[in-house]
Order: sequence, then C-alpha cells, then structure tokens
Amino acid sequence: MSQIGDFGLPARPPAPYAWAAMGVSEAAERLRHDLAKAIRFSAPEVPETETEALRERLHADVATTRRDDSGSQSAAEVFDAWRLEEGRHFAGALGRRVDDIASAIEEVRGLTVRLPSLSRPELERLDALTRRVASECRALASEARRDSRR
Amino acid sequence: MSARTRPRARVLVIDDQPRTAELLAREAPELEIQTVRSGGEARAHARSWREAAPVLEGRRPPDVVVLDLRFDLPDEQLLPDERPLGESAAARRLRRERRDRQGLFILERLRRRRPEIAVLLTTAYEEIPFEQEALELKADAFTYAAAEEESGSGRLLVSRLRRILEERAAPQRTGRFFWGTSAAMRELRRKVSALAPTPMPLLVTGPTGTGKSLLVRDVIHPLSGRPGAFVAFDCATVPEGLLQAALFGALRGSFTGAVADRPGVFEAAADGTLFLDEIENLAPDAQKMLLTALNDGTIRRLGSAAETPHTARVVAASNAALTHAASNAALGRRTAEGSFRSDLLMRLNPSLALELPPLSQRREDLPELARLTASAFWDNPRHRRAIASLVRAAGGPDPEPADAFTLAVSEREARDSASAVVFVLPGKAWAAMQRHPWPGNLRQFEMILADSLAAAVYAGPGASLDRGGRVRIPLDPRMLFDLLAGARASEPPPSGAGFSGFAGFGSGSAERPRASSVAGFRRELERSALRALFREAGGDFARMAERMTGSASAKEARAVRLRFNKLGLSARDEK
Repeated sequence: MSQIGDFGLPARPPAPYAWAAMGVSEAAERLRHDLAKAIRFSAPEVPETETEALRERLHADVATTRRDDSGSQSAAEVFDAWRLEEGRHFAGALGRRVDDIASAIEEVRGLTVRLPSLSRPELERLDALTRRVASECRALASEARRDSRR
Repeated sequence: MSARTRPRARVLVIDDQPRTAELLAREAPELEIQTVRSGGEARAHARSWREAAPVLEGRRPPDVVVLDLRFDLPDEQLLPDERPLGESAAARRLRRERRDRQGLFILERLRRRRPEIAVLLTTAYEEIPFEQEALELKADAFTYAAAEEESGSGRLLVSRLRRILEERAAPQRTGRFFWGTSAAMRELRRKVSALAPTPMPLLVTGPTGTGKSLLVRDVIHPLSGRPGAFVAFDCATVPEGLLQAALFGALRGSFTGAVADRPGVFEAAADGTLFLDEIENLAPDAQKMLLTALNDGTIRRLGSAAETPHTARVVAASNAALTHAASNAALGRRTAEGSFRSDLLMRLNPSLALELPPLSQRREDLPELARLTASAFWDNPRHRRAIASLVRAAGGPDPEPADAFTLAVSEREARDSASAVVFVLPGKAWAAMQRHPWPGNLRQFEMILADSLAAAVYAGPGASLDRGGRVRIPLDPRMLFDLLAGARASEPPPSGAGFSGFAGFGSGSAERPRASSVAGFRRELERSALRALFREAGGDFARMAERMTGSASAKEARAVRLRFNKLGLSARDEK
C-alpha cells in the first residue's frame, strides 16, 4: 500500500472489516460453485457397482471437472487456480479449513494421474475423497458466511 | 394462442460449462436439449446471451431454461451490447463482483423478451445471495447445496426440472380458478397441495380480484377431502348485530324476529369448509367468538347456554383494500392498532398464508388467461349462436361445437392460425393490455376482454372471410382502450401502505424528479421514494422494510439497505 509523506499514513483507509469478510464469503462460495458442485456432479444416489462405470464417472467429475473450448481442468487444477486468486483471503480457522481441502486435493491429484489403472479399492478411495472435498468446501462456505455476519 | 401439442419438452441450457447439458441428455432422454450454433458448430449449451438469443426468439422457443448464476466470461462476451469495463482497479473489482451474478443479467433480458418461459436458476450457494432479485425476475431458484452428500448435485437438478415441467403441464385451471405458469403461482400450487388436506385453519391473502374465494371453493375444499359442504360467508356484509346469529346460529326467541331455531354457517359447514371472506372486517366481539370456536372447537347459538362442538374447517381471506404486498401486512397493522386480535391472527397460521400475487406481478400468464377467457366466451351457447350468424353472414360454414377458434394478438398470429374462426386483437391493443397495471386483477382482465369480445360479436363491423378461408372477427381497439382507460380512472388510490413517499409526485408537483431518460426517471423516482421513506422511518431500515413489504426481518432490512446504497444513497448523508 502506498504511503503519504513521512507519516506512514495509508493513501486510502483500509477496507472496512465487513467488506473484507464479504470478500472471504464470496471467495468461499466461488469454490463451492466451481469445485464442490462439480466434483460430484454426476454421482448417482447409489454408488456404481460396475467398476468401469465408477471409473468413467470419476473421470468426468475429477479429471475433467471444468471444460471449455481451450481444454479441461481437473479438480486439482480448479482448486489450484482458485487458491492462487483467492487463497490470500483465508487465515486462522478458515485458513486451516483451506489447508484440509488442499491435503485432500493432493491425494486426489495423485490418484487422478493414475485413474485409468486404479483398482476398485483405489477408485472407492477417490470417490470418498470427492465426498470429503465437497463437504469441506460446503463447510468453508458456511463458516465464511457466518464470519461475515459477525 | 391456439393450443398445440408438444411431444417433447424443450430445454435450453445457458451455462459456460457443458456438464449440465450432458447430464440432461444422459439422464433425461425424454427432454429435447436444444442446440445452439456458435462459429459454425452446434453445441448443446449456450455460453452467452448472444448464443442463446436466436433460440429464445426463434419459432421453437424452449419450455424451460436452465440458467447458471455464475459465468467465467467478461460481460462484453456474455452480453454483447455491454461495454468493456476496462482494466482499472475499480473495473477489475466490479468485474469480480459481477462474475458471481452474471446469470441474473441474462435473466433480466430473458424476462423482458420471453416472460412466459420457466427458468431454473442454478447455483451452488446455500443461501442464494441474489434471492430477492431472482424472485422478482420470477425464476425457480435451485441450489446445489440442497443435494445430499451421497447423491450428485446434477441428479437433483434433473428431478427439479422434471417437477417444473410437470407443473407446467398440469391443467391451468382447477374449476374456475386459474393457476397459470408463473413461478409464484407454481409455488402457491405446491403450498396448497401440502396444506389443503390438513385440518388446520388457513389464511388466504391477496388483492381484490385475484381469485381468493375461487381458490378456496374450487381447489382447497375439494382437495381437503371433507364430505361436508363449502359455505362462504362475507364478514363485511352482515351487520354487526346479526353477526353472532349468522355465524353460530340462534334459538327461537333469542331476538326480535327469531321465530324459529336457526343454524349458523358453522353448522351449515359441518364436516366441510367454512370460508370467511374479508376477515379483517369482523367486529371485535365476533373476533372473540371466532377465536373461541377455533381454539375450543365449540360454538354457542345465540340465546343458548350450551356449547356444542363443530366440525367445520375454517379458511379465512383478507385483502384489506391493499393495492400491493401481502394482506398479511394489513392484518398485522390492524393487529398492531388493536382493531384485529393478534391471537386470532396467530390462530389462522399467518406464517403459512397462501398469498395470491396481483396480476401485474404475473404478466407471463396473460396470454393463457386471454385464451381461457376467450374459450369461456366461445363455450357460451348464446354467444355461439351470435358467432354462428356472423360466420354465415361472412359466407363461412356454421362452426361445429368441436371447432377450434383462435384469439390472435397480432396480424401474424391471425395469418398463421389453423382455426376456422379467428378473433383478431390488434397488436397495439394487446401491448396496452400487457402494460396495463390491472388494479382489479384477473376479474378485471376477464371482464374487459369478455366485454371486447361481446362488442365485436354483437356490435362490431361483422366478420369477413380471409384468403385462407378463415372467418375473421376483429376486436375494436378503440373500445378496448376506452375500457382500459376507464379501469385506470376507477383505480383506487394506494392505501394501507401507510407510506406517503409519493405524495408529492402528483400532477404538476415541483418535487417530481427529472431525468434525461425513462430509466433515469424511474431511478430518480425510486431514489426519492426511498429517501422519503428513510426520513419517515427515522433511518431505521427494518421499519422501512416493514412499510415496504410488511416484514421487518433482518433479511428484508438488509435487502432495503443494499438497494438504498445501490441507488447511491448514504444513510449518513440522509441523516
């Protein structure tokens, strides 16, 4: 932030707390929209008994989570892009929540690379991780919204 | 406006991501997912207004639009006529804020051009931050957060979409009550389905002419499954001294002229439904008696010492001469003033009140309402005989009972009609009807259209045979304009809102805001009104919200504050 003269005063007053908190809430909602919604978008009510059907669904939800004309982004890439843009807003308990999501995403990243050759137990582990990521993202959005109201 | 059969419901997906369209194609093969063309290639989802517009404005518009709330496109790509925001820090911040609500900008345009299309607005937000705007734009908001953790969010979307299509395919009328397809009425339909079969007392609210009594008589009572009769009682028409006898009955000799025992409406509605219209006009003593009847399930005839149980289910209605907002607000105000008992209001389950929106808030239903009004006119034997003689005079064959007719609202519709008889309403007249505020709501709309049809049949220039062999019966636009002008002149002044913010904007007032455009004028008008209301409410946003909507909840207060600030007003400056 630029300073005025020698007095160390900020050129503009800092953003009020409510505004900053609103930014956190909106950022968390974006993660919910881009990742939590998409990572289990195609999941059926009853888990697939067919291993290849499970693999196919996880490919759609985890390996090609977002797509456009220029290509696709995996769930890990969606999270990376979000964290690069919005991660700085999160500190304290919310920051720890983001770290939890990041650790789950790291495991998702490793399994996604080997998706075509994953065994049934590994696919089920990846499915469980998608559930965890979606749940953590929802919790992050709820907590951020609660904080913004304080 | 002629009826057509549609083998498959058409769905247009507007989303920057393809997954919703793919899921619908896979999971709902009964639907036709409409394709859009972009750069010479076809795709199953529109990524912007530019791609969606040709389908929306084409000859095969969708039945439902599934619209995402958040897009990752710059505004100028999403909405082609938007100017680029630039690269300044303020522009970047604005772009970031707008990114979360771009679907609403599309929805605004869609509503202006195709108000009749259902829209399912999808978001991942648990509490839709723009819920009020979505409601005003008459969208079915759907949140993915409602999805259970185990099942995927997309599956829930499919079931919600199917429900909307089922609701739209459901009959538009139940008895004489008109539902239409607007989001507000579909929500009401769900609520009525849930509440009608229960025994609890209900409150129906809404401005005059919206169909409160028809809703109770033709929908709630039949759905209740109660074997007894439907009995309507207008609380405003019975003198106060006769109310107790009328409601609860009287014994012989209990008052002068009581020559025999007489049952009241509670007894007449035994095991049935007792509809108490204009409940707010009930005198204080009658309110107390009614409360006892509802609380204890007993009534006492005038002149009798014995209480007897009753089995009527009570449904009350109120409009309290309101011009807008829920009548609940008026009842609430009367409660605060002490003229309506708060305990009686509570007993009527006001939180579950069935609110009928004014016609001005469901203009997308006007075409179907016009068609049904014309159908009712057509089905009347006397009118049919008059139409038949017009048709014969024009050289056409006698219309058979099963013959179709069309109410065309433009020359183009008249030319395209496959019906033998076409009533032709000039496009300008129809446009005026669509713009009209309709203070008398559905009743007034039906009356004016029926009068216009009658004038065309009985006093018009007659019918003519067109090149396609159809018999054209033109409606006189001048008469329609006169009827609309008369309706406007008889419009009651706004009352009940307790808000004098517009008091200074009368004809010739020096306080009327000025602006260089209609949009600017509207904005200035809203600013002035909010400033006046702010002053009246002593700067309390909750009080402002209460006066505007009847609710002083934190959510409403926040919505008012946001709107206040959005219009460039500052609480600090205004104080």
